[in-house]
Amino acid sequence: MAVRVQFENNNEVGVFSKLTNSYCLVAMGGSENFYSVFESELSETIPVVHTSIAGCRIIGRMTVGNRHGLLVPNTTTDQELQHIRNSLPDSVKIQRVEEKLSALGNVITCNDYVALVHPDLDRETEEILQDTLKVEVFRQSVATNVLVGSYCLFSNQGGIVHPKTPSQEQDELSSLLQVPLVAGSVNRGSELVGAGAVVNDWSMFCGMDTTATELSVLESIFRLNAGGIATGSSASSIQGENMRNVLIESMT
Amino acid sequence: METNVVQSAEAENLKKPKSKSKVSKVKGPTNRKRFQLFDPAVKSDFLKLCNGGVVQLLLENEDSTEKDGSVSLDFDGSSSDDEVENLPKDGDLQPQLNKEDQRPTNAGLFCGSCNVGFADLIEQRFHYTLDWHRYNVKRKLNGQAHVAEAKFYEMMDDLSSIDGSDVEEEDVPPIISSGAPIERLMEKLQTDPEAASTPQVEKVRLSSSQKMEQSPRIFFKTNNGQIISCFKTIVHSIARQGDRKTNDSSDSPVSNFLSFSESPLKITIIMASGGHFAAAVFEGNACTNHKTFHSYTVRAKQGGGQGSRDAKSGTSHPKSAGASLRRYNEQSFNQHIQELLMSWKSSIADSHLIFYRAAGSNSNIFFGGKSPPLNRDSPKVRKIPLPTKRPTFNEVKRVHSFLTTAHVYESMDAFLAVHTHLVKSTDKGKTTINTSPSKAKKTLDRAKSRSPKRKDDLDIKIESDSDDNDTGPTILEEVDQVVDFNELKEYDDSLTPEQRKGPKKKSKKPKSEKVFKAEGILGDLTEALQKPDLEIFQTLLSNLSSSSCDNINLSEPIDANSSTLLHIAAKNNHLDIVWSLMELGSDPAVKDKSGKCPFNYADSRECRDTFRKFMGQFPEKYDYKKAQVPPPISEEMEKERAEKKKLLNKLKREKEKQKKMERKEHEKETEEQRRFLGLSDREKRALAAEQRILAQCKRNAETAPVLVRCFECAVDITGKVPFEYNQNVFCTPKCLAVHRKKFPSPLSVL
Repeated sequence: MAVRVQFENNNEVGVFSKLTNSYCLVAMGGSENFYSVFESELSETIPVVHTSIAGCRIIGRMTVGNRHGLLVPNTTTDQELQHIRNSLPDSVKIQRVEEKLSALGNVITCNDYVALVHPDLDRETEEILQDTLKVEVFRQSVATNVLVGSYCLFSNQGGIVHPKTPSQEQDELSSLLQVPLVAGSVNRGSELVGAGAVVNDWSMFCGMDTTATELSVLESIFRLNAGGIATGSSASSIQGENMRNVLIESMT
Repeated sequence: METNVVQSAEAENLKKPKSKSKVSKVKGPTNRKRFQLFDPAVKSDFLKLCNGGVVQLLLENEDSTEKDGSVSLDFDGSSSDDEVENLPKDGDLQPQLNKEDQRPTNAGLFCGSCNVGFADLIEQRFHYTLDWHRYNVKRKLNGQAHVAEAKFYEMMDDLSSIDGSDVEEEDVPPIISSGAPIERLMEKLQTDPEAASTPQVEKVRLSSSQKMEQSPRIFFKTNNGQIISCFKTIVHSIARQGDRKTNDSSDSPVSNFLSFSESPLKITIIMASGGHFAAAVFEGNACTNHKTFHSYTVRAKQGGGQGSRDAKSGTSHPKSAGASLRRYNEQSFNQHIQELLMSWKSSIADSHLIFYRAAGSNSNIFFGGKSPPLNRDSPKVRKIPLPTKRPTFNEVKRVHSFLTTAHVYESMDAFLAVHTHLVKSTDKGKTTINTSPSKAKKTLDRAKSRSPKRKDDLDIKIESDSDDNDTGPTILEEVDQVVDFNELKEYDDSLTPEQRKGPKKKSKKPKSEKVFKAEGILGDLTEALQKPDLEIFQTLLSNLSSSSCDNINLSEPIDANSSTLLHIAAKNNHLDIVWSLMELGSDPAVKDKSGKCPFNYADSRECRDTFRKFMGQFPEKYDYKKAQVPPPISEEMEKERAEKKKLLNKLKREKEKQKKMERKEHEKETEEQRRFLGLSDREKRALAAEQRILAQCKRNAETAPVLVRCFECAVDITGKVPFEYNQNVFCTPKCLAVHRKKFPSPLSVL
């Protein structure tokens, strides 16, 4: 299920959090609301860590990571780095990168296997990406935008790209990333899908403004419907059961 | 979006009737031809040009992929009106679009940036690691078309003949890698149009659309590969009454341009400046109406119109006859113009375009007042996009011919040959292709002085422009020239100060050199004395005395200062030598150059005494008065002097002793004071009491009782400030130390 959440009245949850299959980073906010939403949803499976990057709360845009690792910009302080190291599982490699394009979350997007990056990204950073995150790196733009991290969001299950991406390009990208892609929006028409939502293989958080239609598109492409990877008739039957449960619940 | 642009290959198919007539071309200096847009004589040429194929706007359709000439022209077709709607659909020349039908089989197995398909995923993924892909992604983002692989590597080789630069690059640190071919290529993307031009893909790419936009000219490309350029103001959105106004495309620059051949524009040109006025209405190439006049409004010598002068000077308007005359003339000039324009109202209203030149306050004539003759907001009214001279009919005609002249470049290469100059000049901040003088001036270095010739150049260039004879961009060169001022040297000093002084010095020097090269024994003596090697000198002297050569005069000068040996000996305090020299006959009365005798050089008392003793011994030998030696010293005198000295010394010593004693006492007192201050108040009082008792005893002449004794040596210390520690009192620190050593305190053990 996708969860709607707001960070201090801001719908760009992808800016203030970073969600992967093995950990979740959450910005330190004025209240614990944002954090507790993540905590309640994820704390049974993965660690949810409060942190800041270089004293900023926009951690989602500054960092990039997946199950294998986490890259942080070189502006990250030693203290923050140490805190993140202490909080994340040992299997997650953390690396600080010297990259001119320091908002790594904006210029890189990845799942556990592939990454799309800004065409101008440093060669060195590309190598670090390959080593730390264990991904294949592709330099590409999404709908003529170089900020692939902002305009593209994908997990191992599927992905969503800028709503104005030509179908041709969608095909190309989906062949490249080997996940189904759909062009869509979040937060009631926002094209910044990467900034408007965070996703991993079994959960998703998007802005409070996200419409039901958007939510259904997201849930279907990321396969977040109850039953998860269930396919075919079994999926529909589970869905039906689910719906019945909800109905009964509402009547009692 | 991208695909749409790509698909607009034959976007600009235009409805245009074919026509046939003779060809007449005006040859330009380069491989560029010119023709008058509205000249019926060259109409056929114009049409032929356009018939060559699709006429495209270079700037706006930069990315449109134009395939070979096989793209058919729809001259009598009906597509012109709905071409915009057709854009995405027609002219589908991209292979990938054809693939869309078979999408299920190999959907997505291609790269949109590089326009290549792949057999399998591995191939595709490999492709994304290539520099070629990276370069194409950048091009795509810049809005430029992709580059084929072969062409890309060709370009890389051109930049540096390193193959497989991607491998190279990885080893190079980031700073240096900016110089790597691919990076340089990326940088070049922005600036160099030639890096982008690829012959095999027939495309026209210009540096950046911005630069082109800055140019006052617009460029079209025909399918024959010819490039046509003309002024933008002429072709942009001409409001034609009646004909083809239904949709936007008919108002595009291209269609406007093409329409010129059918229906020439009616253009009105109005210029006013500095009391000169010129206006003319042209229909096609012919002038239908014109008027020029002039009135005296500009202040002679000072320049500027009377009106602007008045505006500057505030309330105090000059009241001279000339000023009022000019003021009146200005008014009537304005009125005259407005009347004229009113009378031309109908023909002006008919005009498709109205060009005006009105600098400064002159614009008020056209646009000011209650009912301005021209409407500033009207799209028809435009400024003349080129520099003009004084408004005359000739000038108006020149402007018109300039505006209505199109340039034709035979090929892309010919165009780029000129265009590279454009790029160069725009790099320097120029905005036009035209080498108009005002722009050419911009390249001047204002910090440097210029030759007055510049003005002549300017005039010549304007003329050449008016002759429609562009000789390409002018290149201003700086020539360093060395100017010879030799002819100004008539009154110059031909001699340097040194040269002038030279001869005098030279005449003197040789002499003196000869003089102080003292010869023979005298020379040896001098040498020995100057070294100073006294032993040798003495032996030499003794040799002299023994041989008793009379021919050697020891009083002879030996150096440039004409000083004698005695002088030198006296100066250096050689007492014995002075004595023996005088004995041997060196005269102490001989003066050196500065008029001093040897005695004057004697610094020390001993040396002076030597002279005086010698005088005492040999009172008759020399003229001592002349030698400035004071009265002689006898032995008695010497003894007396010695006694005196002894006495003095004794006195001195006694004084010193006294001083020493006083100092000692003082020190003792201060030391006691210090110790006294260190005592506690109780002890001070005890001490005072002791002293009182002592004093009383003294007064009564009694023997004082011993109240306090030194703990160590038991000396009476009654009435004295004792040295003490731990309540033990002592006469001296020495006793204290001894006592302390005997009884080491527990603290010191620690």
